[in-house]
Parts: sequence; structure tokens; C-alpha cells
Amino acid sequence: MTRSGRRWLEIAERVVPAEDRSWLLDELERMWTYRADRHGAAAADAALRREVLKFAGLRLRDPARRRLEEVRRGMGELGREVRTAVRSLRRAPGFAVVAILTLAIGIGANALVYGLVDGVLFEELPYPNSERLVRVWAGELAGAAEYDYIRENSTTLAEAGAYATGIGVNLEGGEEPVRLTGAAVTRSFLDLLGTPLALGGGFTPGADRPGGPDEVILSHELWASRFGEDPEVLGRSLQLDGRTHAVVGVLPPPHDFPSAQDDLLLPLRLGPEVSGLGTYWGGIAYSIVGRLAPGATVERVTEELRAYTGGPLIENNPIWTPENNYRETSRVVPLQEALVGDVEGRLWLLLAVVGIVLLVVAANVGNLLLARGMARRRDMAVRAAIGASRWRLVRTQIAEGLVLAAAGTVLGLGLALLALEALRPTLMEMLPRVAGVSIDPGILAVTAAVAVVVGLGAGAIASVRGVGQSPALLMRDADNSARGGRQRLSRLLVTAQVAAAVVLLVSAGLLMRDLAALGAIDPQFDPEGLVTARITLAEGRYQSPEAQWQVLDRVRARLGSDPALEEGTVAGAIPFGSGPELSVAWVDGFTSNPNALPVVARWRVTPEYFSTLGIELVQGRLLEEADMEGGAPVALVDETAVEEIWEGASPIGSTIRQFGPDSPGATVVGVVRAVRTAPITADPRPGWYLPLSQSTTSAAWIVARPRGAAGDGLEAIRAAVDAVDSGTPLSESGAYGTRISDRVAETRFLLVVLSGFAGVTLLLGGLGVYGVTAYSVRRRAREFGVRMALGAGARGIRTEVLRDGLGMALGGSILGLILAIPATRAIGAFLLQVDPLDPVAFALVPFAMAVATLFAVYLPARRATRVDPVEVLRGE
Amino acid sequence: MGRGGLGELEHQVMLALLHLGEDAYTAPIVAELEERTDRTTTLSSVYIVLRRLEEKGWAASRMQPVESGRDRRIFEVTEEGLERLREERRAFERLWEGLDSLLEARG
Repeated sequence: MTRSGRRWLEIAERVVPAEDRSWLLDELERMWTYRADRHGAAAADAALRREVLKFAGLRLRDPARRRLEEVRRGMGELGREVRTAVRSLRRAPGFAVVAILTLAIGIGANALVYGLVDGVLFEELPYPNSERLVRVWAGELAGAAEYDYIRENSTTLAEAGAYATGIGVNLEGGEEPVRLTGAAVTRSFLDLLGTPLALGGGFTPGADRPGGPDEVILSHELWASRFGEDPEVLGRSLQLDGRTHAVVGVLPPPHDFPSAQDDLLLPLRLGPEVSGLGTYWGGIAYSIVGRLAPGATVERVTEELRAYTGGPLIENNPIWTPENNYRETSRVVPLQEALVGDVEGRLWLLLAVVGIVLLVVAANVGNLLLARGMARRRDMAVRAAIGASRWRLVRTQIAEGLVLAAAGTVLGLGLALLALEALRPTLMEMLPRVAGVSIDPGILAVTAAVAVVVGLGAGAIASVRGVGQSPALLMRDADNSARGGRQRLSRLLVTAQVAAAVVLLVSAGLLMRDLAALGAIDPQFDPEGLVTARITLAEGRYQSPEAQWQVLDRVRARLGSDPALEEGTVAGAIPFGSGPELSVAWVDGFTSNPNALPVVARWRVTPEYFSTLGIELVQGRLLEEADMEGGAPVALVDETAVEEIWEGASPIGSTIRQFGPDSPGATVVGVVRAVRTAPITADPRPGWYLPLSQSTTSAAWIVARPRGAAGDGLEAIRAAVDAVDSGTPLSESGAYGTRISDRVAETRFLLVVLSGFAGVTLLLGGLGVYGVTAYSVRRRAREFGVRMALGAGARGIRTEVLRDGLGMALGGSILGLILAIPATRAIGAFLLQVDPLDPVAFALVPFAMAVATLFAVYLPARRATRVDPVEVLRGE
Repeated sequence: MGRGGLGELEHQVMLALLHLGEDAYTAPIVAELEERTDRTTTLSSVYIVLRRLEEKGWAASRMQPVESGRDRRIFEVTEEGLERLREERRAFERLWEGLDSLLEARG
């Protein structure tokens, strides 16, 4: 049977009297075969069409049956529409698969990003009255002194707690020592959050004061992995950094503050006695959180902190405080806002991007439905002729849209779930609170709503044309009567898709340019070929600075003699590692105002540090081995320091002191280049270098240049450490270069996401251009055939088709570039180096679009010239 | 057309039913009519007529199992229908009486 015959038979199915449908259709089919045998398929088709129309007319004449039908129709309308839609989609599997996949991508992306936005930005923090929690910045470099002062004197904060993150400890007692990360928190920190622990009562009073007992609170994960969730874990102990810590609690899962990566919490011990100069006062910046006192507001707390300027905090400060410190840099922010602060913009950007993708997807599926609708105009016409209302015809289209959207949603949600689990570890490094994100019922509801809107939208687009015309017009040969209407709407949709693709491409292009610019920044040292690792000595075993330095010095000697290494060094801090300590400095003869001292970066290094990292000497000499073994204390400074403190004069011979005029000093013996450190876009602070032996540390960095592969280098480091103390674990080991590229991970992450979606929209836009052009070529096949028969050249026709498709792309590109100007303002916030209106990004995109379009229209254009005039005319 | 009247297509369909006998399904009826009258008709018209004949009691139908396929509806002329056909034929014969020579001369 011919396709047309089959179609008419399908229509007959709906118009023949229901009670005789079972056998009448067979008879109609036999009739068709009989006629086809005698008079040919075309005549059989025509006769079948007459049959169907007659049956349709029969129904119209029977009022009783019509009433009955209407009742029945009313009863099972929805179910029937859906069944019909499913059935008709199953007959067009190619179309259905493309449409459902397209929808799944759009809907899945939206579900995922909406889930992130909801979980990260909107989900309340899991603490009682969490809206009363605030993060407090009491001046720049707020230290233990500020924290103590606030706890004792604040009237606007009911309670305050301090914490420090990224504390590394070595867990011993197993076969291999394990490196764990945790946070140190005050006792009040846990109290003010108000979350009960899963187990235990938390730190005992005094644990967070100097000389307090060694205690530890485990994360739920550590409790599970190390203790198998043993409820008897309380009272047991862990060997951390050589000291015995009693387990006093287990955190509830999941926790994401201070950080989801914390394995454990240790007491943060603050007090003038332990912290000493430079840590109690203005040295180490602890993070402070508070709970608002009844009636207090964020503004009132801020006012209170600002009023510290000129108060006892400054008067008592033995080292340094800029006069306006508290007034200018104090800040109070709701905790939830503080936690998500800098990622909020990124999430909104993502949401906007997937929103655009969804619109493009809806337009695309609408277009597909529209094209399909054209193929079914006669079906529609017949249904209109037999009394189906326009609304009913629209409903059919919409039902189809909804069925597609439903299938797309199911698939999309599956994709979103898979993507969430696959991406969670990566996302956790970039976003806070990701551990708790899930695709929950709320998101399902939103996604379903989105799907309904998209389904309705796509269905509505498809029904705009085709149902508004008179049945008589529709009855005529569909392809020939399809004048510009559908084409115009399709073109509009495709142009919009191209515009959306251009907007996303420009954004992705900007990020790409930005990434390239970031990569081009010279860090002023050479990380190429270097490997790094972090070593943390067990403080319990090496308590005196002398003992710590001895260990580090022996590791250093091993590195120097290992044939696998060209050179190696041990340092207290490295660029893009844990940053250098920041503190104020006093230079005899060059600084005078104790309230306006320069903030400098202090690097504690060994002589071979400079050659290993490739930091150039500018003036004087580098550190020497003799400097490491006592003798007069010496220091190097960098060029930025020379510029800012010495204002260009030679610093050689000057005495530089940490903190103030009364601190011990060191003589400057050389000047080196200023290195950049994280963030790479920041201008380097003034820096100074002193021998690690003079001010040692228990947490040091090892940097080495292997002769062979990076793996060999890391192995050599491992061997050197093991030879000195096999109980010392290494952490953060890897190639130095990745430490720097990790710093641009955010930009790269955005770039990957944006390029992915830009690619999808480009593909959809290309498919759109292809679809419309191909359809138009098919429709005009006869015209082309005739023109070629009359002598028109293939080239002219091909050019015409190409021009047609490129026109759409050009229109879309122009529209997209105009829209991109405001859109790139949103992305501008994430650009570190490149201007949002970067001409290269703007110029490249239309070019890319043109290439993509050429691909899209090439096939239809070729097909247009392959039309055989004879064939076409015979087909008429 | 009242209960007693017999329309032209009704007449023809009943004759076709008699010709077809055990093959009196709808599609063959249409084919039979088209072949014998040399005019085209439609299955839908025939279907309507068959249903009407059933209402009038001149034809009857039943579903009949068919080898390799779905059941088909087969039609047959009832006794009452046969009587009506005979009546109709007599009426036509009376009308035709004495016209034979006229038709032959003109034809």
C-alpha cells in the first residue's frame, strides 16, 4: 500500500462507525488493493480518499451519533489525545528521538543547574535560626585579640566563635600515616551554630584555651571509615601529629561549614600566652562568626566594629594597626551570604545560560513539530471538515508537545542525576554546600513545570499555522498551498536560535581569550618541570624549632644528593602553595609611622630555593650556606619592596624587622625579582626572604627539579623524607604547573560549561538552518526543475539556496551580536584580563557561525541542483 | 424511500448478494457491482445500503471466521428480501410488457 493510502486508512480508522470499525477497515484495504490492481495506486488512493470523506459526511448527518461521540470524547479526551500522540510519535521514531533528546538536554541541564542554585543559594543553613548567624571581619588581619575583645565586649553579638581552616594533621597508629585535613574551632563556635553533634558532647571547657586537653571531633565520614560507625568511639583516642587526642564527638552528616572537606575538628587555642606576638595581635587572621543578639541587626554590629577605631584595641596593640583599620575594613555579612558570596554570580550566570539553552530547545522542537504538522495538513483538514474544532486541533499538537516534553523530562532528569553524581567531586572544590545538593521533589516539580511550559510552547508554535485556515484550502494539495506562512515562522525561530548561539559563543570566546591571557601572565619564576609536595612534621615529636629545622635540613641534604634530582629545596611557603605569611615590617631609617607600616610577605627559604624556582637575583647576593648556620641574620628583599619601602634607593645594608622597631632585625644583602602568587592577577606585594633555619616551621614545602619524569621526582622526594622520618606523610604532591593552572580553574570551569552549551545551541541552530533550507528546497523542487529545464545553471540555483540559508545565519548573527553586548556585561564580572567587548571574540563568532551555516546548507543546496526536471514534472 | 420502496442501489446490492453467495463480503460486493454495471460506486455507499437493508429486514449479516485473518462480515438476502425482489421483478416485467419490439427497433 502507498504511504498516502496508509494515511487515509489511518484517518478512516477515526471516521468509520465505531461499531463496524473492526471489519470495515479490512474491507476498505481490500477495496484499495482491488482498485490498485485495476487502475493503479494513485487511483486507489483517490478512491480511498473519497471513501473516507463519505464516511466522514455520514457521521455528520447523524445527530444522535454525534452527541454520543461528543460525550465519549469529553470522557476520554486527555487519555485519547495522549494515546493518539504516542501512537503518532511511534510512527515517526526518527523525529521523536531527535525531539526527545533535544528536550532531555535542555531540561536536564536546567534541572541540574536549578538543583545547584537551590541547594547552594536558597537551602537554609542546617542550623537553628540560621538567619541570625553572621560572618564578621573586624578590620584587616583580624586576629585572636579582636576575637577575644568581641566576645568580651560586644553588645550586638550574643556569641562569637573563631575558626581556622585547612589545618593538616598526620594521623598515626595505622600501618601508614595518613594526612588529614580539618578545621580548628573554638568551643563557642559549635555552641553558637546550635547543631547538636551526632554523638558526644563536644570540646570540654578549656580545651580551646592554652594548655587545654587534646581533643578531636570526627566528621561523620571519618567516623564511618576509621571506626565503622562504632557508637563506642567516644573516649577512644587518635594519634595526631604525635599527640594523643581524645575523641569527644562526631559531626552530623553532611557538614559543609567550615568546609565539606574537613575530616575532623580540633580545638582552636587562642590566648596571648600561646599565640604570642604577631599571632595574638594582628598576625594570623582567624575567621570569626557570630550570632546576633536579640534585636541586633547586621548594620548595628558593623557600627559597633567600626567604633573600635580609636578604642582600646588600637591603644593596646603592641605592634601595628593602621589608624583607620576598623573603620574602613570591618564588615558583617549574613553567614549564608558569606558562604556562597562569590559563587552566587556564577550560579546565576549558569542558570541564565541553561535558560537560553532551554528556549532554543523549545524553539527547535516547536520547529520540528511545525514541519511535522505540515506533513499532516490533510489529516487536519479532514478532521476540521468532520467538525473538529480548531481548539481540538491545537490540542492535538499540544498533546504531542507535552508527550515529547514528558519523555524528555524523564530522560533529562536521569541525565541530571548522573551528571550531578559524576560532577559532585569537581563541583565541591569550586562551590560551597555542594555535598548537600540533591535532585529533590521541589526540583522535580520545577522541572515538570518547565517541561509543561516547553511542551505547551512547542505545541503552540506548531499549531499557530495550519489550524487557522479553511478546510477547503487545507484540502488542496498541502505542499503547494503551503505558502510563506510556515516558512516565515520557521525562519524567525531559526534566526532566534542562531542569535542565542551567537550570544553564548561570544561569551565562551571571551572566557577563552581570558584564559589565554591568564596563561600568558609571567609569574616571574619558572614552574616548568618542577614537582612539589608538602611535608608536615609531627609536632608532638619535634617540638623545638631546632629539632624541626634539623629534620628539614636533613631532608634538604638528601634532596641535594639524590641523582634523580637536578636540585631540590625546602621552604616555608612557595608561590601558589600555602601563601607567605603577611605581616607588617619595620625598616630602620625608611619607616617612621608605626601606624602606617607596609604589609609585606615573608618567605622562609634555603639558599638553593632561588635557583630551583628560577628567581633572578637583581642586586647584591643570594642566601648562602653560611647564612643558615647562625651568624649575623641576613635577609633578601624583592623589587616591589625596594620600590615601595626604599622608593628606589638601594636596600643593601638596611635592617629590616618583622612587626616593629623593637623586633629583632636582619641585614638586607640582596634584591631578587618579585614573584607573583595567587591570585595570579594581583600585583605582587612587597616581599622579603630570610633563612628557614632562623625561623623554622613544622609545615614546609619541598620543591624539586627531577632529571627524568615528574613521577620519579615525587618518588625521590618520598625517599628523602622516608630516609629522615618514615612517619611523615606527604600531601599536595604533584607537578608545580598544575598548582598555578588550578588557580584559573574557575575560569576554565565556566569556559567548559559555556562552550558545551554554546556548542549545543550552535548544533541546534545549524540543524534549524538545515531543516528550513531542506524543506524549502523540497517545496521548490518543481520550480528548480522547471528552471533547469529552461536552461538555468546549477550554479545559480545553488547560490540562491546558499544565500537563502546564509541570510538566516546573518540575521541571527547580527541580532546575536547586538544582544551579546548587554549579555557580556554579565560575564564581565568573571573576566580577569579581557575586556567584555573584546573585538577578537566578537569578530570570530560570526565567522564561526558562517562556517557552521555553510555546512548546514551545503547538502540542501546540492540537492536543489540534482533535481531531475522530468522526474519532478511527472510527479505532479 | 419508505419501508416498502426499494431503491436502485438497494436492488442492485441484493442481486449482487445473490450472485456472490458465500463470498458476499462488502468489498467483493462493490467489485461485483462495478463489474456488472460498469459504473463506479463506493464502499461507503454500499455499506450504508447494506445497513439499511438489514434495518428493513431484507438482508442479514453475521461475522464469519476467515482463515489467516480477522473475521469478516458476510451478508445474505433474507426470505423476506427474496420475496421483495420477486415482487419488484414482477412489477418491472409488467412494466416491460409490450415494449420489446420498440426497444429493439430503436436500438
